Amino acid sequence: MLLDREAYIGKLDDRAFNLMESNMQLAWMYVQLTNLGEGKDIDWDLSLEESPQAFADLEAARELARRAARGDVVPAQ
Amino acid sequence: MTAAKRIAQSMTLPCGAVLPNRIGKSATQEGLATPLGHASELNVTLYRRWSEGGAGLLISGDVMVDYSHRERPGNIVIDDNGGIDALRRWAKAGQVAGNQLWMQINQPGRQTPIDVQAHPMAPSANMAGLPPEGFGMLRAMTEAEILDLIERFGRVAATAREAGFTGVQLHAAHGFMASSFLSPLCNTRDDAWGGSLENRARFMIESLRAMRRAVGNDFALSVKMNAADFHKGGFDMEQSMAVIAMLNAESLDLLEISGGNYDAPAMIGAMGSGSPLARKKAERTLRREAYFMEYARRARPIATMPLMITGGSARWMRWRRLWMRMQLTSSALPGHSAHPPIFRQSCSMAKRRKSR
Repeated sequence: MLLDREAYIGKLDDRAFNLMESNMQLAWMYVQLTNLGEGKDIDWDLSLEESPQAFADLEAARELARRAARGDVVPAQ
Repeated sequence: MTAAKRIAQSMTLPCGAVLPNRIGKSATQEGLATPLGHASELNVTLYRRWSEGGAGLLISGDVMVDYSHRERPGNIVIDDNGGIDALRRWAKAGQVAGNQLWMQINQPGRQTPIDVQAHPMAPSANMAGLPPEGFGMLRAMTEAEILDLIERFGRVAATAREAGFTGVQLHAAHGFMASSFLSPLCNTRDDAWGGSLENRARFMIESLRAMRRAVGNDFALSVKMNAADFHKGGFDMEQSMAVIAMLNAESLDLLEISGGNYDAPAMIGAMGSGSPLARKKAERTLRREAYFMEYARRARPIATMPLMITGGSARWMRWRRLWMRMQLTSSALPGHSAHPPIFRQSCSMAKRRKSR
């Protein structure tokens, strides 16, 4: 999956665009892995542009769950 | 023989393990572990589904050997933190269809994010090639830390076997610890672990030896290595070929070929984001199926171990047709899903040239 490069010409240089696109691709993949792990199907309607927010929402929900499970949390050293 | 028939054939690895077919799922970090770094029920469900997909080989997302150096929150960690029962459930679910399930083992080194580690250990305190945000100031490892990390790889490999995995893979690609030791840009040490290519390869080779000692000779051992870093002055194809020749002396069951790192993520089709030609290159790369195949063809006459390539399985319908033909031509795949077990980093295997 790729973004439409032409829509970003003049807004982002190649390096910034490629990093943004890579991050969106990874966010899309992580959301879909969670779907599969939860027994759901891949959400083919999720666009690359929507993926970072969907991933952030997912991580926020996880963080809440972690806090709810207080005592299980091991801080990074 | 058609490609479908060839891919559907079983394959015996040098250690004696048998892959039921030659499609493998390459490692994909799931980020689904519990806060303690244990495998979760989401890992269990995901790998059961992948196993039912019918691939002959599943390689897990990278499992960390050090809680203080994780690739991201959500990694599974084996670092005296318990969780063996969860690992067993995960291993069992990932083999329900009779496939091989290997644990990929990693220490992310310089690519450990700053919210996990403010001062990651690395071969050298050299920030070259790291994206500008998200990574802390690096700290060069002492020799004692290098030797400790090699031992950790061995211990985690032994745990993988104890938990029921059928093999292990060292992650020596994508800019993580073992990969960064190989790179002359990232590794500027002047001791026995840096300098010449032989010295830069020492960390990877000693880690593989520690893993082999820990798991014995009848257990699959693999390494994932970059074809190149795609950085000027970095680890390139010529050096990679020379390292493959070194690996021939080790008892490896599979060499998986990938490429790139966080700054030049060739493994997902983007080549060298710093280059003005990056976009054109990326688009050309994505148009090409199996974009490390050219490298594999060069490596094949040199390597004595089986090869596996990853990346570039982008044309879904093409792979689906191949998968359907496999099911029609192979009695080894009864009742498997009509959908190939391919996700982003799906793989196929080049024909094994010769056993050791």
